[in-house]
Amino acid sequence: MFNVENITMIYDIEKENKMYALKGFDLKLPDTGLIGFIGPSGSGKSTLMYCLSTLKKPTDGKILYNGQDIINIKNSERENLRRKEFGFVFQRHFLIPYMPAIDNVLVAADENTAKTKERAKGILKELGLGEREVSKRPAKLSGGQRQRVAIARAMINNPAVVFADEPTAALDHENAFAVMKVLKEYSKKHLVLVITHDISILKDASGIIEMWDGMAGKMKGGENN
Amino acid sequence: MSQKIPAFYYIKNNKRRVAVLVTSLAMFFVITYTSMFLLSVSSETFRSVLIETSSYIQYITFGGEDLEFDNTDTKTSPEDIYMEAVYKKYNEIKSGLKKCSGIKDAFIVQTEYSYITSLIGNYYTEIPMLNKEQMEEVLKHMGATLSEGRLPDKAGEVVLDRKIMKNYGHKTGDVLSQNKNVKITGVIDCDYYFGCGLADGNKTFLNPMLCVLSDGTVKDLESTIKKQGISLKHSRFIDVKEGEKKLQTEIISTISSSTNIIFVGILIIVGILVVIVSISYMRDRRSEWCLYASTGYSRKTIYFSILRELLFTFITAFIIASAITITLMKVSDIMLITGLGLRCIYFMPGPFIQILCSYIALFGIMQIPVRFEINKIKTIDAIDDDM
Repeated sequence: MFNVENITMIYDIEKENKMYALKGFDLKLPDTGLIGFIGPSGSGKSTLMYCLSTLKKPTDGKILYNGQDIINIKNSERENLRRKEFGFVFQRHFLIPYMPAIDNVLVAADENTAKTKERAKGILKELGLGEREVSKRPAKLSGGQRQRVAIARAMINNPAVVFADEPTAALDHENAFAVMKVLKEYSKKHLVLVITHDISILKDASGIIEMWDGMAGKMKGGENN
Repeated sequence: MSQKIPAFYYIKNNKRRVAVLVTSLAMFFVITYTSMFLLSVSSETFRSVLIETSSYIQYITFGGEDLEFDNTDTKTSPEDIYMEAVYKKYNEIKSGLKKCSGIKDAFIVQTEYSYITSLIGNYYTEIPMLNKEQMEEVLKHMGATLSEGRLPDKAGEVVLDRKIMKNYGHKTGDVLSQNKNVKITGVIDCDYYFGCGLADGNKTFLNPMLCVLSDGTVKDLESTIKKQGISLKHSRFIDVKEGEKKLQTEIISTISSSTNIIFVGILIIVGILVVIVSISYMRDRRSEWCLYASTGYSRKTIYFSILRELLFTFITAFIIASAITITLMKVSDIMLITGLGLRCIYFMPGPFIQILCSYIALFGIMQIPVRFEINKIKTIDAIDDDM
C-alpha cells in the first residue's frame, strides 16, 4: 500500500544546526494488517506518520500510496485522500468539547444519514461505550472513553488506512487490549498503523517497526527493505 | 463532490451562545424598527393633515397688499373695511378661479382650528365655518358621512372627523378645545382629518380665508391660479406645496435626527456585542477547525461552514425580529395609535433597508475575525510541533 523511498525530514532547514526527524530510509507497508511503530520519544515515529498521512511534506524522498506519489499532489487531492482513504487517531484526542460523543464521530463522516448514525453507534458500542456515554460530551467522559470516541471517529468512513498515534496511552490495560482488539479486527481488511511506547499492546500486530534517531529498523513479521 | 461540514452542530450544541448573538441582532432590529415606527406615527399623522387633506381643500389668506381698501371711508370699522376688501377680491377672482384646472369651487370662510396631538408634537387643521349649502357641498366633497349625533344647524356648531374626536377625547356635545363657543354636534367618518361647521350670518369675522375645493390634482395653488391671470403675490397659500415644505422642515427633519441618534446608538451597542461574541466564538473553535483541516476539509470548506452558521444566525434573528416587531406594531396600533386617532405605517422601506444594510455590514464585520482565524488554521501535526 505504502512504498516509502529514501524519506528525509529536516526541521529548521534554514538553521545551521539542522534537525533530522527522518534520516533517509525505505519502507514498504502492506495493504492490510496492524503495523506497530515503536521507539523512544523523538525517534521520528509521529513525523513518519504525519508524512504518510500527507499532513507533513518530507524534505526529500518519495512516498507512493497505491503506486501514486502523494508528496507532489494538489492540495485538493491531499485533502481528498485524508477524507476518503485515511482515518486519524491523534495523540491528544482532539474531540470537539461541545459535541456529544456521537456527534464527535459523525463530524468526520462522509455523509450524515441515519445509516451513518447507526454505524457510529455500532462502532462506539464495539469500543465499549454504552448508550448513555454516546450522548455525553467529552468533559463527561473518562480519558479512555474519549480516546475510544476518537478511534470511532477515525473508523467512521471505513478508511483504507487508520493512523493511530498512541491510541491506548490514556487507557488501562483492559481497555487498551479491548481497543487493540477492535483495531486488529479492522486491520483484517485495512491497514492500521499504530505508534506506541507500549510493546505489550502489539502482541497481535502483523508487523512491528522499531524506530530510533529518525531511522526505521526492519519490520518484524512484514515486508521491509 | 466536496464534503460539507454540518453547519448546525455548533448551533445545536451552543444554543446559549448562539442565542446571545441572535438576541442581539434581533433586538437591534426590534428596537430600531419599533422606535422608527413610533416616531413615524407623527410624520404619518401630520402627512395626512398637511398633505392629504390639502389635496382636496386648500386655503388662501389674503395679504393686505393684494387687497384694495377704501381709504376714504372713515365711518366704517377697519374690520368691515378689511372684509369688504376680501369680498371684493373674492368677487374679482371668483370666475377665474372656477376656470382653473382641478378647482371645483371656492368661497370665503371663517375658520376655526383643531389641534392634532401626535406622540411627538402637535399640529392644527383648519375647520371651515360655512353656510348650510356650502357645508353640505364640502362634506360631500370630502367624502364625509355623519355617523354619530347630528349635522350643525346653528351658527357655532361643528362636526368633526372621528380621528380628531379620538385624538382630543371629545364626545358629541362637547365644546371645541380651541374655542369654547363652538359646540360639537356630531361625528363624521372621513378619510382625512377634517371637520366643518356653521358660521354665523355676520359678514364680518376673524380669520377670513378663501376656501378652495379641488379634485386632488392641485399641488401648487398659487401657480394654478396664476395660469388664469390671478396673481396673489402677498397672500399665504395653505396647499400641498406648503404642506410638503412644512412636513419636511418642521416634522421629518426633527424626527430624522432622533431616529439617527437611536439607530447609531443601538448599532454601536450591537456592534460591541457582536465583536465580544465573535471573539469568544473564534477562540472556542480554533482546535475544532484544526481538526477539520487535519481530517481533510479544506479551508474553503471550513470557511463556508462558518458562513452557513452565521447566515443561519442572521436569518433566524431576522425572522424572530420581524415576528416580534410586527406583533409590537400591531399591539401599539390597537392599544395606542388608533385609540388616539393617529395614523401609522407598518412597512417603512427606508428604515427596513437601513436595518438590512446594517445586518449586511455586521455580517461583513464578522468576516474579519473569521478570515483572520481561517488563516491561522493549522493541521494537528503543526500544533504538535509548536508544543
